[in-house]
Amino acid sequence: MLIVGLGNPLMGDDGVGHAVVEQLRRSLADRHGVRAEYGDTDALRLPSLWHGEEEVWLVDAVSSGAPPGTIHRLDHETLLAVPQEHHHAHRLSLPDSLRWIALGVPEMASVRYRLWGIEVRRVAPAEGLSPVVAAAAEQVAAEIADRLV
Amino acid sequence: MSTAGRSIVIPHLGRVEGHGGIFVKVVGGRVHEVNMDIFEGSRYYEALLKGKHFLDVQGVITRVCAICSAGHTVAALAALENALGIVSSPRVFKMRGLLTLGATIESHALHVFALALPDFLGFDSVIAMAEKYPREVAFALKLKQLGNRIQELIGGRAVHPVNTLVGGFGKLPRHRDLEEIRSALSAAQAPLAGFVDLAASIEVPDFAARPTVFVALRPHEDGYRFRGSTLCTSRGEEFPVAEYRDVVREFTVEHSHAKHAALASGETYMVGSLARLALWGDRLAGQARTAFQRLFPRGVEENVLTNTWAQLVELVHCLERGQQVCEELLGLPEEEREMQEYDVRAGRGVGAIEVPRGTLIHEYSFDDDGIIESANVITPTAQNLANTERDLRAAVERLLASDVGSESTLKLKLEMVARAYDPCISCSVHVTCL
Repeated sequence: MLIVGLGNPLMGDDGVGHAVVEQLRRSLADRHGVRAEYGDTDALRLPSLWHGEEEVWLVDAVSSGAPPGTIHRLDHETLLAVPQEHHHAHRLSLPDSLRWIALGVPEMASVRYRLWGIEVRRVAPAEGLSPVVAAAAEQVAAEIADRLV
Repeated sequence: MSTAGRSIVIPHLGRVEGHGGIFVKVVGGRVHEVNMDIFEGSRYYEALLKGKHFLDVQGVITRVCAICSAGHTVAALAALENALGIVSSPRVFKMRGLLTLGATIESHALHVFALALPDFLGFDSVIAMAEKYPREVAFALKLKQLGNRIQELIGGRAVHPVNTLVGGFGKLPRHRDLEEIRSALSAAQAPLAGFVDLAASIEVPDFAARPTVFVALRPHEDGYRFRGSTLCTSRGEEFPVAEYRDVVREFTVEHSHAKHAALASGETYMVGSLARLALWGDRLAGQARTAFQRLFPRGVEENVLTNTWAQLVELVHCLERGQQVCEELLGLPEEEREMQEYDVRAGRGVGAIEVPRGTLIHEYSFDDDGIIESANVITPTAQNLANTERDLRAAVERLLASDVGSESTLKLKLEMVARAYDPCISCSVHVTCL
């Protein structure tokens, strides 16, 4: 099992994926067969983190208009079906990145993904999360740990 | 003649890093105003550096942008080492060159294949393109990964390098890793040549073409290189990089969080792959020279939409040059690390490098204890913004005069102009001079 937290911890709530990984690394330190990795801001770098795991669980910041701290849970089919326009030159949207990985790295085509998306309050240069987003990060970390039991 | 105004608004530029848009105002049939609006919030990284030790510079300034972190690293180290009077050893210089090549491969691969090529081929995205070009789309990702792999090997990780230090490197790559990179670079050459064939079959529109001043660094040695210490223009002017403040004038505009730039003469200019090819394309060798001749049979033309093809030529160059640098490094004895001793002293240093989007300039000054007193960074995107607006104006005037079709078609073509510069808005908005 590979768990990857995406985002930039220097951009406020965008670092929520990293915060969840940080918590999981503490709680799963001695857990065999589970890795929690920092994915930074480019989902296209997933192949370099992947060591043949059948499942990859992702945690990322989300901005959909829902109240900050809302947790979105997307299974594999739902995540890869998200039609999303490109909003960045240097990185594609997460669903498009996963679709491209499936095409470009055939050995990863059968990987099953799951996403925990946490609605952000503020994405701007700052360290640390908004309280409501930090609380959601704790909840997601606990939820993921529970699922691994 | 009607004086009623018409606005063309593109609120968000797709496939552009950061938040930006285009606003065009047409009054009485004439283009009245063209703005490339940058909404992205300022980063203030330069302000953050004031009062910190120069050894902290790299760790902070590279976080301006993830994709550009290697370029910022090399430029910052060049400026700091110039201030300290450090001359890089041959191995350190080559390794930073290889890091730059890796970053350029990653950046150009993404922009050319995933972000620009779909425009030229009429697809919404690289994923849609995969239906017709599955092998090409798969190869493009492998090429980007190769760029990442080089950065991981040299910089210690794919983004925000940690192995690059003032005076050298904390850890040197093993020969077997360099051999692996050399093989991977070699293996990518043939598939990339297929892309050159594909690109050569595509006609690039000229609706944004207009007279342009190109600016790029003179390569530090014979050959096509990304480092140098002299700024050159396509009008034949040359300036030492250390005097960049006399050459490049930055100014603020109301509609943008990013500064704009112009030459001291007031002319806007373009930096980037097309500018480099215009100035130094005759220095290309091997397959890169062949690709250049194939994609630019009449030489470089003043049409920003061909910048994507210029990036493709540079990709071919990076694969070839990367193998050469690996070869040169393999000729040196395998060692654990390489660091130069130096004395901390007050100083001012300027460093410049050609990064994927153009000339990147860093300047720092610090006191006798090494505490930063001032910092200034001029990014390629900030230098290109004023020129982008001129190109957009030319495009709007030409397109409106030639019955371009629907409003959505007009907007798509304007987006293509902005995207051709491969702008990095995240980088462009950090500028806060102290």
